[in-house]
Amino acid sequence: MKWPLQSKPARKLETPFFNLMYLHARGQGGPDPTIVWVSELPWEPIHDYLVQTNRSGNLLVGTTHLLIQAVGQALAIHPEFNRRVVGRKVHSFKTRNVCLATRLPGNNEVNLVLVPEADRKQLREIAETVWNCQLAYRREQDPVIRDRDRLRRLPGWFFRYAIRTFHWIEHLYPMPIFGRVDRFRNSPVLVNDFSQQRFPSMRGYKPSRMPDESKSLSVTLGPREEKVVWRDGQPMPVNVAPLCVRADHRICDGFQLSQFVSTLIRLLAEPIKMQSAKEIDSASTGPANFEMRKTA
Amino acid sequence: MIPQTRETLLEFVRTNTVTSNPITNQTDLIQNEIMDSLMLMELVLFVEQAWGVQLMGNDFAPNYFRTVEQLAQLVETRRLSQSA
Repeated sequence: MKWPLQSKPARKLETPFFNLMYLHARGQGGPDPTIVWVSELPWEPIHDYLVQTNRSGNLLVGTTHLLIQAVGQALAIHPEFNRRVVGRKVHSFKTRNVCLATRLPGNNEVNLVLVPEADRKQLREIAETVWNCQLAYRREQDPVIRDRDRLRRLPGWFFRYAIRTFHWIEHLYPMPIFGRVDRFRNSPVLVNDFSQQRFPSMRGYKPSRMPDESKSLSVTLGPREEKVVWRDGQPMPVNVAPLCVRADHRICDGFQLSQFVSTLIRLLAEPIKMQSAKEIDSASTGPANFEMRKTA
Repeated sequence: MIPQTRETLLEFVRTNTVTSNPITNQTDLIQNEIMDSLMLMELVLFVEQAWGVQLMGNDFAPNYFRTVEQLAQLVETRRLSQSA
């Protein structure tokens, strides 16, 4: 059993008054604390960096992995986002974990991948974690699949009351992580990568809040598009990708969210700065470390 | 066998890609942003179904997935080693 949250909540005196108003507003049917910020980021730096890395490395890395790394490092720079609401209190997470939503071909299920301590991981390590999890899901070797099936087979009334009871208790107290299915609660952020060209163009994306309220933040990258901008008095085509961030007004305000989005754009505009010298050295030489997780 | 494997893989990549540029056996799939995580997982599934070859994490190297030609060679190598 693991306790993902700091036991002491954020002090009321340190919480901005506007956030407190949302925090203490009536629950169901009350004000919606969701804030959404939609921005754009330049695509060329991401593309160029990935092409360069994949030219010399021995493990395929993609946009998803870069996005996870950027979100992890942005959480480290803005710790006020590495939090969640429990009842009327705000608790910080102990580590900066990032959760990724994936969907595999031929599978009618959204699978979550948890990348622990994403702010400290090298890009290769993040790619290994994500590929390993996706392969395990694909081959139905991840124990979560069996756990989910067991829960699905429960009688409807029992399932409904079990879920409601769990959420009710979780609304009152910071809860530990009990098992494999709920380990994804150990992250304040859900990352969606829709940057592939098969997806339609995106102007905005606001995912709903998770029922357990653990995900106070959601970061979504949309497909790149060509856009004409004026540079030096000349029209010039550039590639940009939409970046949509949903946050919770009980945890942050619009200004803080703008700072978080700016940090994300800055990190993704210069991916090389996210990597340490060690990463650059090992990318071309070190063997990929793949160990399929044992089936329980 | 390689020409047949190559043609099958090329057809699969063409069918599952949204691009206006023509795709050949030598097209750089990474440079042209065709080889993303969804495409990779679709390929893993397709290769397993079509040839019974299980691609492992160690196979996820850019050099194996850069072109259809290299991918066909990987499939043939794994197919021969698994049948041996």
